[in-house]
Amino acid sequence: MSQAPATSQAMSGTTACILRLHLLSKRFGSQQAAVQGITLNVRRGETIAVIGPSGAGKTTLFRMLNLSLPPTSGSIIFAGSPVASLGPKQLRAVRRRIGSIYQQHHLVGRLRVLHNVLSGRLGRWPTWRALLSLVYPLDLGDAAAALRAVGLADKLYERTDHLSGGQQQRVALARVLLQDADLILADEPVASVDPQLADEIVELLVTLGREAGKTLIVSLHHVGLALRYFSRVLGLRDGEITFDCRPDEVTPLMLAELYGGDRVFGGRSRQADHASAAPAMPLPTTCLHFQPPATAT
Amino acid sequence: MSSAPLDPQHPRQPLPYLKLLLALVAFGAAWRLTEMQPSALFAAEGRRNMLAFIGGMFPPDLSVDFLQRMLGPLLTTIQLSIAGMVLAILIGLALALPAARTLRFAGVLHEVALRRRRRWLLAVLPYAGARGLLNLLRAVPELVWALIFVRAVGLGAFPGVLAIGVAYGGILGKIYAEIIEGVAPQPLETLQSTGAGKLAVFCYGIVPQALPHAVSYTLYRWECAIRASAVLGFVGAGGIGQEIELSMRMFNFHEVMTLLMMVFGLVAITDLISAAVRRRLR
Amino acid sequence: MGASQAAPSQKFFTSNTAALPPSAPARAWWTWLLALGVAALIWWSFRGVGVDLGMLLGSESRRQMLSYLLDLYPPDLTSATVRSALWGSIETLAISLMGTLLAVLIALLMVGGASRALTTSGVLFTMPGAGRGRRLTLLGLSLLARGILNILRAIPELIWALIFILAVGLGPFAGVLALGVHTGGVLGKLYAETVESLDPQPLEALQATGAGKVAIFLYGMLPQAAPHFLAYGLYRWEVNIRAAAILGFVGAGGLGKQMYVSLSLFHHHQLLTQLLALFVLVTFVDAVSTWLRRRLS
Ligand SMILES: Nc1ncnc2c1ncn2[C@@H]1O[C@H](COP(=O)(O)OP(=O)(O)OP(=O)(O)O)[C@@H](O)[C@H]1O
Ligand SMILES: [Mg+2]
Repeated sequence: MSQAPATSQAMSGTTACILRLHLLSKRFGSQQAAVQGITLNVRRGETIAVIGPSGAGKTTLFRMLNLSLPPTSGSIIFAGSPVASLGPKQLRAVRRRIGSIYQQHHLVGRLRVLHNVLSGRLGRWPTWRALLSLVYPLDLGDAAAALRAVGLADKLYERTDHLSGGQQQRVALARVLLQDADLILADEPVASVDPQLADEIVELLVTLGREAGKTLIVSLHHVGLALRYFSRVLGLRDGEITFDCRPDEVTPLMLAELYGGDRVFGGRSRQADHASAAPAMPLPTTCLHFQPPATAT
Repeated sequence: MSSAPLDPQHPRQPLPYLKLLLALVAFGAAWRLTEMQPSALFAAEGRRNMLAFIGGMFPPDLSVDFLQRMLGPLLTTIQLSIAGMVLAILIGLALALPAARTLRFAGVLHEVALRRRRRWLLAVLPYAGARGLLNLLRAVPELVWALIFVRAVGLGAFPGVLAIGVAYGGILGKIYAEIIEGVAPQPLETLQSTGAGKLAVFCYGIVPQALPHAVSYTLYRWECAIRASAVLGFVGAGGIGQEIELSMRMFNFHEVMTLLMMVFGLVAITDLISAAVRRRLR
Repeated sequence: MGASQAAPSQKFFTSNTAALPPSAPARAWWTWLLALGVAALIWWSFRGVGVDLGMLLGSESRRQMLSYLLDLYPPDLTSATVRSALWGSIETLAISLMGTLLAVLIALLMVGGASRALTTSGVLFTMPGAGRGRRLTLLGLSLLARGILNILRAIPELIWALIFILAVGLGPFAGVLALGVHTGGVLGKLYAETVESLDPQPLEALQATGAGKVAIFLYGMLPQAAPHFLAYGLYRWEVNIRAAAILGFVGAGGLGKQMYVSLSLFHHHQLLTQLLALFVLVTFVDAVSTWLRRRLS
């Protein structure tokens, strides 16, 4: 299990890019392409926010990046190797190095929290360990520490579907911590939580990721958060990248173009609200609820 | 449906009359074929026979001696249904795993890998085979299976167990496969994206989601199996059914009534058990 | 576990066994007892019916069964057998159709009394003008209807067939009656439950317009419930096509009667032809019913 980090470090010597996308496109059936011709280089350790209106193709892009969805055309090169040519074994090995947090409904509700967290280890465990752990949980200490890191230490044995939406999102976060992946993809991790908690979760994610030197790609409907916490912001609309720059370079005009156009007049959307509200968003000075793991241990 | 002609999207079609006509013709033909003669129900002789039969069932025979004699067959019926269900569950599971599309070649677990032709074929062939076999097992009613097995392995409870196992195995297999296919795919995608293997995805993602439905349906089938095992006895598969048949042939309708009440009691008890289990599973 | 092996800078947090979570809620002792009980029950059952693994998998019984099944082959495809199997199938189909129709009729007649929504609670019951005496009458009526349905359902088709053969003599008519009466009990219960779970708002709205009971039933309940009624009827038709084949064994004609003759006289090849006909018939009915139900929803 120490193979993966070793190779990743070997790779980091040869290339600073953990992920390269070349003209990546996805088309469902005969519809208009959900993602079209995205070319992108992601350096190791970057924290990227992807923003864009509903239906822009964010989820589709993320599902291709975590190797759940095959692209219609174009290529994904993860840590130097093109993923299209991977066999089943190597595919698993790469998947294990990419951690995902989904928009919603992606935990197994009927399992206890600890099993959902421990499932972050499934890529590394041999099958017998995975099966044994369902009966006699292994690596319990790790699961507990990860849950403490996200502020859910007391929910270890709770059934997952008894938790609130925001708590479940934090369980998903804990699972990604346990997976200890090099690249973390989070698709609207805060879509279903209140603004205060959204802020806290995003900050936690970015802080933890940055401390461990992880690469982060997070899609958000919340422009304020994207501008505040990330080192790079991507605008995605109709499956294409409209801008790609540092947060301080993002102008209201760019946002208006990203969310605006016919949409503003065609019916006010949630996203348009966020865009207009973004500049007025107050910056929280402290983060009360979450302790960084260093102080927790 | 009746508002269809008002809908500008669906212009009025001349077909409804044709359909009605067809239905009427089919009804008439079925009426003739089944020799329906409602008047026969009210004919004096038939009514007398039926009333004699039903009247003969009262009061049920509750003599201690008879009840004691029937304890054995009662237990046999329970045992037969349980053994048959165990066999059915095994057969159902063995066939459901290849018969579930999402486990073999379709859905989120197969989007990226297995694009190659040969592999795809290797996955589809067992699927088609399992589905065909399930249909075959399901199509033949358990009583016919029982008759066939009685011919094949002789009288006794064994053919009854086989009949329930095979017929219900087909039913359970189909339902299990449907339950597995109906499981929410998003958690599976997540698990897979952590690099989990097939078996791990199955145990962490599919089993927890499918288990309550599968258990609940299996319990319902157990109830049916008890009812069925009463009928299977008619063809010599042991248990209460055999006693019902015997008592009927001897025109001991009081005993028939008692035996029927026993079957109802059993069914009611299984009903209670499965209700309790379902409550706990939620 | 692996925390010490990999480069620490790549880890999110260090596993902390000292900070182990509160111990797992012990699985209740009676869970284990239950498992043990079930295992014992299964063992007892197999012993009781005298079936063991050797019989299920052993070469002797397998040889016996195989030789019997092989004896069935080839099917008798002479035109006489095929023609009579065809006629038998049509007759069985007719029995199942008429039986199901009769059952729907019985269920519709009984649902008025058996459903609580129509008698002892809900909109119709709380209508003004229902005095105490009337309520008691309705309650009694509902109990009576439910009792009748329970009896109809509790007696298997086969026993009903024997009873009706006494009444109307051998032949398909007895089969129709048996199917209709038993299935009528089943459908009556399902229909009553459907009516009870209907959305009460349209009913209340109707009542507010001053509509009477019958009008509420016809305009408020039936339109809501009819698709469910039909779907249940179709589902029972699938069950009844199999049952109709069985009823033939006790003298209700059709394919079942032919199979009974073939079995008794050891006409193996004809039996296989009839089994194949049954397979085709059942598959056909399943397909038609599934198609109709899909069109309904
Ligand atoms: N499995 C699918 N089959 C067909 N079309 C799909 C599928 N998934 C996504 N699409 C289409 O692709 C387009 C992009 O969808 P996507 O889910 O990627 O948007 P999104 O940016 O994530 O939106 P949101 O912010 O609402 O989550 C949409 O038009 C959607 O209808
Ligand atoms: Mg999305």
